[in-house]
Amino acid sequence: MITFDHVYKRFNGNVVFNDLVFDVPDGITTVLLGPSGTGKSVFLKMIIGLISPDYGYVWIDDRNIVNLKTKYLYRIREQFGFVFQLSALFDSMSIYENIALPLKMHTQFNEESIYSKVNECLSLVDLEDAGHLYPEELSGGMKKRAAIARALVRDPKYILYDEPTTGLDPRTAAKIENLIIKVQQERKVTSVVVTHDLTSARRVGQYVALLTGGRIAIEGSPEELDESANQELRRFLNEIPQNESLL
Amino acid sequence: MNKIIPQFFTMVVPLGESGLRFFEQIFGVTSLFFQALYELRKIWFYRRQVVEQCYSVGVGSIGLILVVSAFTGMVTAVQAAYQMEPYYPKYTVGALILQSVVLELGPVLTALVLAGRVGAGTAAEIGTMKVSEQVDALESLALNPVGYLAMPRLIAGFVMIPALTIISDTVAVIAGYTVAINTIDMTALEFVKGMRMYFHLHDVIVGMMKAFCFGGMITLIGTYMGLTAKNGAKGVGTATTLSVVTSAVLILILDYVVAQVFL
Repeated sequence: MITFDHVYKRFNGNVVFNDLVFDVPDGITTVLLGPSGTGKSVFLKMIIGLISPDYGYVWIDDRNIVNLKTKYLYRIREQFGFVFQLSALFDSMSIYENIALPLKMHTQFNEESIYSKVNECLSLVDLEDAGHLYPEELSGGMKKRAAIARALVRDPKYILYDEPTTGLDPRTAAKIENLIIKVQQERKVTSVVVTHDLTSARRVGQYVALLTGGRIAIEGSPEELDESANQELRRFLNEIPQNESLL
Repeated sequence: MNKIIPQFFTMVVPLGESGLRFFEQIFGVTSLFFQALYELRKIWFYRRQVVEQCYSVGVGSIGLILVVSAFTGMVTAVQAAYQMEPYYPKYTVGALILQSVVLELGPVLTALVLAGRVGAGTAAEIGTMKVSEQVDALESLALNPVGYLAMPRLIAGFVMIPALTIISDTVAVIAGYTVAINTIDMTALEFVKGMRMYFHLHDVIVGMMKAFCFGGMITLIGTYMGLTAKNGAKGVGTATTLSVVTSAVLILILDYVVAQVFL
């Protein structure tokens, strides 16, 4: 279970989190919605301790990771897969090497086991033939899929997706969304997706929360939010040009 | 008076900010150095990165070092002959080439050239990784960027730059010897006699100490500038420039300090 316990965070005087309280439910996909600049990426980075709160606690499985010693923090990070907004594949390595890196560095697997594990992940994301390519040779959607494969390779308990469909055409975005659903169903992981894309949130989210003004304005199942008259939620939806209904 | 005080502050405040940034950077580089030393305990874990960096810094720079050191030796021979021939015996040309190359030109020119090649390359590579979230990705994979990026480069600097300096010294002396015996009316025996008369092991040790200090410093500054890069492509450019300029200035300062202390 991931828990944000009265978290405060400021950057250069701008309040990002103001007494943020939120529990991420286990075993399902939670979508964190919110306009750009509300701290959605900070939320994800705080979960793995890349950014620390000014005050408050972040609990991962009943362990507070704020100010945790690096050694213990790295152990916690081994339970996570993180898909970055720009994919963040290591551009000096091939896709195969990118995915194999965590196995080479953290496990005692021999080359044969690593090869089989990497290929299993590549096939899950439909990139069986792309292992020898370098990130610069891939399209945006392929990079995202390779990043998902890298995040999955150590069988994490949690997967964090930072704007997984941003910058992709609708068809490719749908492929990524399908992949997020498939990964959740097949691996039974706890997924957290942050996005400002309602269509994407509607497709992948089993639990949805709206982050605005440094707090969670509303949270619940998509159906619950659909029926909600919460003002923050309505304001967020009204700012969407297509006048899309919610979830 | 009313105008003077605000003007004073507008002049002093930026100076104060620059001063603070300067001390912040000194603290940052020092801290990175000790963190990298601490990560040495995991050298076996990062062995692949260490070998890769040693190869990249060492083998990758040999061609450049050969060219630079050959011409350094050649021009030293020509200058020495031009300046000394009328007043001193010819064999002193050999002594002058050996001493100036081993003690000064070899380590300093090698370091300055490598500040451009290795330092700039390191800052640009790590800076690009920083602004494209690859450094965060390393952290998310439970890999310490200091251990994975900084420590192997520091080792490569400390080991390979002195090794390149030895090659540079050797090539420069051979090139100087070749020019001396071919263009000045001088025999090989005279050249060798000069070298042997003025050879001191102490000079070689001091030259190598310089190379060792320069080597660690170049890779450390490049890594630090890369890890602190921000603001996209412009930030990477700034980090790269700062890396080369800072390294070049520090090489000359360190050169003086080592010479003053050990000579």
